[in-house]
Amino acid sequence: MLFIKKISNLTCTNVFFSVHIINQSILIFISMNLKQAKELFDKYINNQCSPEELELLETFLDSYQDGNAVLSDNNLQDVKESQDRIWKDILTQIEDKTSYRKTYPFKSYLAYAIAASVVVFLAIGVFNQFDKVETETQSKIVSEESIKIGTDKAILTLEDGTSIALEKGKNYDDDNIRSDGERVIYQGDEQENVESKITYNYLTIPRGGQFFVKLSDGTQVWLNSETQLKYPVSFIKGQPRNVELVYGEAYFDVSPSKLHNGATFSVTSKGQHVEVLGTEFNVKAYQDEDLTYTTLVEGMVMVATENQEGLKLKPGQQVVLNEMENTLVVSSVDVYGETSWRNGMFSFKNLALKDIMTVLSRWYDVEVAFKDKEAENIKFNGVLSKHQDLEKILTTIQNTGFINQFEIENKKVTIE
Amino acid sequence: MFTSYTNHALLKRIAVDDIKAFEELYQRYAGKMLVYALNILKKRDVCEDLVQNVFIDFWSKRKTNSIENVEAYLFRAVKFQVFNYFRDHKFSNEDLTRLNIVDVSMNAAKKMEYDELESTIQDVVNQLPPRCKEIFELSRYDHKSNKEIAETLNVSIQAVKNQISKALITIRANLHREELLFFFIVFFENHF
Repeated sequence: MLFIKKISNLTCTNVFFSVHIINQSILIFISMNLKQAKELFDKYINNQCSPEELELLETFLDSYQDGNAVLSDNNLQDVKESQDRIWKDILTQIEDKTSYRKTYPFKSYLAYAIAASVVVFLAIGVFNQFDKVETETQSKIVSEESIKIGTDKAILTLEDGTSIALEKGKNYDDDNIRSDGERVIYQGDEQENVESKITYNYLTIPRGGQFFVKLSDGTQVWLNSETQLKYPVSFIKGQPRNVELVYGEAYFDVSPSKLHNGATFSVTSKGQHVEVLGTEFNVKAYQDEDLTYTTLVEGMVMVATENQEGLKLKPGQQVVLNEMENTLVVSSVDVYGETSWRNGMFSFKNLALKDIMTVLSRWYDVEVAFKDKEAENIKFNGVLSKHQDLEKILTTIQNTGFINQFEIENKKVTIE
Repeated sequence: MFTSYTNHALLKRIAVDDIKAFEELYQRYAGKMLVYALNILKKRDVCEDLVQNVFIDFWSKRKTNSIENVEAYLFRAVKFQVFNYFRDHKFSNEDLTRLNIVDVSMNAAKKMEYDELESTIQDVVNQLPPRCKEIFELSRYDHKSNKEIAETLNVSIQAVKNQISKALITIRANLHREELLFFFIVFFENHF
């Protein structure tokens, strides 16, 4: 794998723990190159590991096995080994007719683990402090325009097309709409007259922004960067309530149907329709991505597409819509991880650096380029605060040793 | 020596205790079966055990077996092993290779019978349009690769993929019980 070539370039020979305290998060980095891993394994086999080394080894293995690498071509060797081993046991059983419990030598993990490496950052209460190894390369930061951390901001488009910029510190008051610049609240009764026309507003969140809106029925919606939501100024009594997530990511806390004469709530987005029954859920449908992710936190929803009738979701489940392949796939997910963006955290689980940078680019409104193509596919696990400077996050990543350096010039980030 | 034998011929030899013939059969399918199991469950030692169980069981029944399609039989057997493993053990999302598993919590608690679930799925498969059904069965029951199916039926690989995709969507849409969906997703959707 490309990775092995990368690892051999590392100059550090010691395993190190480095601790960073960044705002309220405490992160621990455990980074080991493959040579070190191999040395540790050999020690283990010869019973020479200290307790700390044992723990290190276990953590390394856990992080490794969390990967998807089971069946790449490289592991054909492992399959062959397993196959031979199984056959030997089968022979013994059918020839001698004796059965015994197999034990698998630890050595089998060696080949397994060598094929890839995953860096683990854990946020846990206990930590040790060791000397940090000096990194030889310094990263360059050239900014004429500093990169700002994302803030609450949005553009509200009224029915007549007027656009109003909503930003912290600016108030906006009009009929049923009230905004303090950080959120916008709609008030007003439901329209009684079934014949009356529904007027729609749009809330557009730019890169570097996030916003909150409370719709006229009390439904609360948190909107992430690069998002646009279309919704009625007020809902018609007794009629289904529908909003459209034109693109981006939004978290909905829907006001129960029973408070609105049983009127159901639904969210339409690119290629899918979600029916809601008083609940909390997250929809992620970015313009630049092919997949739409719908995660249910509480309650119940039904997700439907053109070709498929309702797929019911239970809390803790996520359905991924692939419009190209026309598939809807359900799985159980870590709900906190999928919705932590609302609480000021980034949560990355086994995510490639390329994809991590996409998420960061939306929040910090920067462009990202990879000079080192291999670095794009390195996977990370981590939970990071959104309220820190981008440079801090990039430095954190750099200190793991898996990227050489990064460069920031104006609003462009280059990873090397 | 046995590499040129057909599966049927191998079975005949195995029935008269020919271990070398048995080994040939093993070499033909064990790898694929192991890979199949690993594609569902990450625990390598467990998967090895499951594959081993299938072959040991097969050997013990060698004299009374009357199998039409050995490959399909072996894969069904390993699926059965995997299924029983799910039913009898607690497991978490961490143990599963792919995340396409609906509601991991429903395992040991519910009473799932392999045969019942399998036959309900078969009913739904039977409703597929003929061509679609044929391709789906070749893929999921006989475990042929898309390439093999394309060559056998003289169609493009993309056409095969489309039919399989269509089948998956249709079948899923027709499965209502949670267990069925779970069963289906575990055994039929883990192809790459």
